[in-house]
Amino acid sequence: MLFNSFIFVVFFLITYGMYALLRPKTQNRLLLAASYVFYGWWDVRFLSLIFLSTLIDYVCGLRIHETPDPRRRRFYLALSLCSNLGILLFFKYFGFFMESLADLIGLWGLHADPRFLQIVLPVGISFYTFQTMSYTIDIYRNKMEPTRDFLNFALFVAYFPQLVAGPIERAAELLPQIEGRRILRYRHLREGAWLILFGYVKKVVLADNLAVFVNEVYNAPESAFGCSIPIATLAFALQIYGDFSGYSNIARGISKLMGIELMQNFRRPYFSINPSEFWNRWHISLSTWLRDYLYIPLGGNRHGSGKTYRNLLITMLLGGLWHGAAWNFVLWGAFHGLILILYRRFPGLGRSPTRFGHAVRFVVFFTVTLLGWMIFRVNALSDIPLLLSNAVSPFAFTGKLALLTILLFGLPVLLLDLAQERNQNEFVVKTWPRPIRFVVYMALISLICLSGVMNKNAFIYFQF
Amino acid sequence: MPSSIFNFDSVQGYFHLPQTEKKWHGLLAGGALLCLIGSSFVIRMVYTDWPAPSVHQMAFRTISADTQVLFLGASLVRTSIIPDYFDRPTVNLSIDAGNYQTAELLLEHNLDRMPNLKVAVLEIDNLMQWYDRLKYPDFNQLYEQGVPVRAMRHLSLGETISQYLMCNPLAQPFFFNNRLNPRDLRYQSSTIQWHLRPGSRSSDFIMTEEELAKRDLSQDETLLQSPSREDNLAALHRMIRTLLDRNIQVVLLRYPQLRQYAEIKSDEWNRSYQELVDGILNQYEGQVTYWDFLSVQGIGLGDFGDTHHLNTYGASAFSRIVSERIEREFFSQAIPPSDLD
Repeated sequence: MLFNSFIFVVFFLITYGMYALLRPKTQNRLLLAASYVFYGWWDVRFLSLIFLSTLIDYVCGLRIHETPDPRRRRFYLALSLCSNLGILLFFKYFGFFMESLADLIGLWGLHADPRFLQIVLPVGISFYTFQTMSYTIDIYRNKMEPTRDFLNFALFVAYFPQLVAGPIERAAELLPQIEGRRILRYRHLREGAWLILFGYVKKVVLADNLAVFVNEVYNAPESAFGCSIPIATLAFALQIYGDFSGYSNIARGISKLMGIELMQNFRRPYFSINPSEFWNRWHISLSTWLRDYLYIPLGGNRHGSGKTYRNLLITMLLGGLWHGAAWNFVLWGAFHGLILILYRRFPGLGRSPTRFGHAVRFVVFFTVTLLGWMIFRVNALSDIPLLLSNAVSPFAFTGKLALLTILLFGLPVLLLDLAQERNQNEFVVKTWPRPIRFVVYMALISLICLSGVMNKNAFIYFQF
Repeated sequence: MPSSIFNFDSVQGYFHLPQTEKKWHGLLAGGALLCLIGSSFVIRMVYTDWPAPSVHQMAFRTISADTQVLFLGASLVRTSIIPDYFDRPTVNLSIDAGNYQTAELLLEHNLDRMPNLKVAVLEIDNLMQWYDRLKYPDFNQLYEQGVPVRAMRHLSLGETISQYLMCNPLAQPFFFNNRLNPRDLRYQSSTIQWHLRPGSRSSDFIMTEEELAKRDLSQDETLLQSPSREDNLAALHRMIRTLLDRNIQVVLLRYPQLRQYAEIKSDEWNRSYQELVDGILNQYEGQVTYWDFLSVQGIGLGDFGDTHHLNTYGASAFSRIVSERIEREFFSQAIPPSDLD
């Protein structure tokens, strides 16, 4: 069930109507049922997987908490991690590893048929497995106590607004809101409505209108040339931002309407001037997850430069692989790892006291980001050199229509992001006088009605 | 301003908001509604020359008791058949993204208005066989061509609800495929590909080798779909039986497509298609005629508006070809030997 589909609108209106009328105790039951309907809408079989994951982590969480024996605690933690990672590896990476193995064997002139199993990738599996893993790890680290209510825990895992594309919530943040009494304040409604409106603009107006141009170039790189390639890459940068941050906005907005706060997943990442700032603003729930559960346990930056660089590289490589079972994601992760190392080695690259220096660094880092997105978007690694060479030879000013679309639909989003950035407040619109707010709201609603692509494109991050 | 308007023990908290706040909300809701209505009308005006009737409404209006030839199918038929070029009263009731189930609905709800119908020409190809085309939200065309919403029974619950909304101009922006963006507007201005203005069924765009080279035909989703589904084909059989019961000649017509487009289909698909056609022809023992115009003399690259839809020039030529064939096959009288002397 896509947020940008008619069926979701109906689903949400029914769910929300019932939610508002039910007593607090039954609200969670309703949300759980709604979450399973939402997820099962893709494929009912997926429910068994999420249920299994829920059951294992619920039991492991309780056992880790109850037993004082460190070995048994480690055993239950390992059981939880192995089952979650096992499910993830099998469903997401099995085919990739087998194909890569077959390719490797092929290098020695041997033949292997990698088509052992046709595995369907359950939507959003990477999101909820990471979310449940953080639960057992936090209990193991004595940072939180497990919940004893299985249904509440099941809701924490399957909570529909963020189930398939995040934010990857921490149990310590979300579970208390599920278990406790929720009071919906007026600001929740205002902020929720704004997040939903802006989220839809980013997704159906910006991302989906640019997708056409991006696909044209990246699905047929041999016939793309000239400016259309950098323009399509710029379009992809905006598409993936609009798509993913749009989803996060809608998820947070819907949650706010129900009195539940989800974490901010994007803080205008393209205003960054260095990679560490970028990762503090882009997909924050994943980057903080990787920081807390991978980078810091590896040693973080506590053991000298060499080990810090190694830890950064490992973290980003795995972060890249998290995005998908393909070599371009691994390369993208490595690329960002190397960039992080480079900026760490030469701090002057990412800092400047002057405005001009800041602007130069912004342009340089944004260009670097675009190169990263090219690696991320290609269908095969061999497309990268092809696209880079086609971009300059033969050179031509192609892609004007895409540029026009970027300007037309990117500008409203850019202006609003700029206003938020200047005020460091994503709800800055609330502070504006009513006539201006009215014009902004109506302009955005009209944009969705006139140019929004409805019912068509799934969110990119569903596949991750 | 209250810090909390309600908790879940008292939803009614909203009603205790200050009057000014409620007025503001009313203003926003009213403004949003106006935007919705305004957008709907703007899109309609740009894409359909609204308030002039659409091509579907026009087609529906041309149905009369005199109608002798009826064409049913999807966009290939819409763009290829211009009734004005036929010697007999002809109606083209095709709709974009149609399949046999939508064609059956159109036939069912219009057949009684054509008591003198002699020939019904049904499109047969991969596009019509593709059941999943129903997911495309274009079915207000059915409504405009005389099918009441309540009759669209083959749709799922969600689709049925969307039908009701689609026939409602207030909700149409969410279901109308065409949107205002530079890309679609470029097509709108230069090729008029989907411009359903009255009297213009096909685009004026002329296909060229250069333009064709830009298209990645293997990405055409219509070619990647499974070819048919039983309930869709069952609708085709029901239509054939209905028409034969009324002594109406049934023609299955395969429309022209660019060679490059037609060649992408797999051998397996071609084999299953041939089996389907042979099966129908055998089942109805000579009562059904099959015309394969996939590649027809006189229709070339320049007659296409894209890879598989004819442009206005191609449609004019093709309509004449089909008209002559219909005259020759179904309306020419055998000349009595005495008259030969």
